Amino acid sequence: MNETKREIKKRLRNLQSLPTLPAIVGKLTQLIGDERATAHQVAALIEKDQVLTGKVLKMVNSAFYGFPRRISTVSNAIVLLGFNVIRTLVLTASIFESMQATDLSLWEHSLGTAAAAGLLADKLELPNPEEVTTAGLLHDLGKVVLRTEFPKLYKEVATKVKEEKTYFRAAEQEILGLDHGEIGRILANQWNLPERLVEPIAYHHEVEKARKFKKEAAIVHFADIMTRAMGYGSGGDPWVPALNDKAWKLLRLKEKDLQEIIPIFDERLLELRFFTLEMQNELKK
Amino acid sequence: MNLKSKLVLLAEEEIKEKTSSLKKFYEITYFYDPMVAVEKIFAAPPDILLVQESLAKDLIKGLILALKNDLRLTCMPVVLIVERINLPKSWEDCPVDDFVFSDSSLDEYLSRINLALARVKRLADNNPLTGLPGNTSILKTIQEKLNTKEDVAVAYVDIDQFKPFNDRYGFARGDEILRMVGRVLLNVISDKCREKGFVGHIGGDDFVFICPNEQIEETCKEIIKEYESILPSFLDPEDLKKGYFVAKDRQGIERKIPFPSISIAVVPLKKGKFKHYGEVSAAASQVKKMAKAIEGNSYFIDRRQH
Amino acid sequence: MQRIPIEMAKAGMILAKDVTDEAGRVLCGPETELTTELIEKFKAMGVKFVSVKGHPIDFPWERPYEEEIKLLEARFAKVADDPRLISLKKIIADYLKEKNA
Repeated sequence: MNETKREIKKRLRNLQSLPTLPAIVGKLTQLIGDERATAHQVAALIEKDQVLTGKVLKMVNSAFYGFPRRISTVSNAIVLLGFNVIRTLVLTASIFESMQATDLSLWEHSLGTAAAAGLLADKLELPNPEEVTTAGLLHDLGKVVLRTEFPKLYKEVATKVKEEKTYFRAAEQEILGLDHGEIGRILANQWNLPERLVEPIAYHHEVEKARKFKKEAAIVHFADIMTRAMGYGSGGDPWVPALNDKAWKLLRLKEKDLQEIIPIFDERLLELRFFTLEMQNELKK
Repeated sequence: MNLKSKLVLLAEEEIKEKTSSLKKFYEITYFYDPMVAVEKIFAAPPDILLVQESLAKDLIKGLILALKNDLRLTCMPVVLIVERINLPKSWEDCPVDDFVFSDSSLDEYLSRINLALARVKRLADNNPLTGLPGNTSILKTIQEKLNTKEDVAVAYVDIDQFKPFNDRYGFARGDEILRMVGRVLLNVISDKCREKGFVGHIGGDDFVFICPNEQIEETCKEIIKEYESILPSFLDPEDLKKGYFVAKDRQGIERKIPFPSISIAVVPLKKGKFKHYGEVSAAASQVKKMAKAIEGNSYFIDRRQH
Repeated sequence: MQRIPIEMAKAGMILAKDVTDEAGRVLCGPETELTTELIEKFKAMGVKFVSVKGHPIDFPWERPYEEEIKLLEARFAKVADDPRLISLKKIIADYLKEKNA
């Protein structure tokens, strides 16, 4: 167990690059080649991909630019990095040739969680809903890493989930000795992301462990639940996870709040479904 | 003990082997995959880039253009490793600083690298904090625009309440704000004005930018919009909530200090109005007073005819 | 009733609900029959989705109502003893029912 954990941590330190959805890269390349493209349009596309978002945030928070752990949204990152840098990043985004249509489910889950997080942040009247949306988008980055860098282990976990009908996270703990929350935490810290992003990524399953950004962690926790409850995308297993007591206490959601949010969320999911449909069609071309 | 210059070598294995003894003189990071190299180069730029053209022709071309178009990275010397048969070539499309043949001797490689590094030291008056051109380049550029009678405006940007901010949050945070403003100016002007724009850092919290007259207002508005959107990331949440921070003024009395805001003083270069850059900065001082009189982020354009 | 993106709307479809622009202003009411001109006009005004009568298009993710409810129940299987989550399940179930009406 310890061996695997150590191996994982070591590999994280030397992580070269993660896969991006080919269709998004394709669309972005098109957009960036267009003279009339605005930074806003570019940001909107980048925000649809957790890996590209991670890359952009990692770069803007790096020592070279001089604002470590400050920038937590793609829109701010784009202004600070500039179109030139973004263009180059996009042109060299590593593309996973063999990405199947079914692989989209992990991406869908992160998109859905981002959307739900945004709605919850609005409801709770947080000053910076965009940041929580980003946290929602990145919350399962650890799973992407696991799948890409440790495909055998990932398969073992997936098999255990299927056969023993356990939660993905429980299977992770047993087989790897750590879970995607911790992998995400290590990565986010390595990338110098602001704490307001690191904490929700690290503690979206254990909200009580969050220190400074408890509300944000609680929102991502419940956003994850909402997305699974609506059956959109896949978080690794087909079940709604247990509700964290601390999160529920912090959110103070009433029945009427949920009754208002669910229809709006469903509409957002519909928009996302059409988006991924478009992406799947691009893949087939 | 001298710190070795950092060199990134993006080339085939063969070249890597050939130049391996250069490790004595430089700290070399080696890549054969342009995709991986690019990310590293932008995130932690070396002192010099040595890149082999034939590795991936179009990608390398794109990389060079991106580097040279980035106002901050443009000063980083790029030496291109070329095949003899590919010369002559158009250097307009390939704005590198020098070239060396793939089959050149080790001594020649060494000489070209050293020359490129020495050259960049001579030319740079870049502000060490923001990497933007400094005073000499700024004055030179303004004078150029005056001589060619280009239809542009010169804008002077400074940050209000910067000193109390520094006192309260410390110089490190203050430096971050300066870098942030530098990048916002850089990217907004690059975006809107392309080659017609220019951004410089005079020093401290004083910046300058040049922009075509017809775009000046929208550019000022965009700068302010982006600054307003990014500033909160640099403030403590408790202060953000209050809407001000508390600090002692020069008399030692505690006051509520508003957050740092930018003032832009714009001096359009109307044909023939100014002959010398000194006149431009003199006009700017007057406009600055107007801009700073407006609370919060503001810009003020000098519309006087003479 | 089916909610579809404006790009998939075709002349002859009949609106089931108001069409609003980005500001929330009502552009058109239910029972209106869509024409090519109308659709182009909506696109130009930034309308992204419209609700039309019936079920003109089959989307890959759509399932019959009964199946949706069954799947919903299955998803909540492991948290059946948490009243807070069961309440969420009920809200979703009610919403699905309303949609299916």
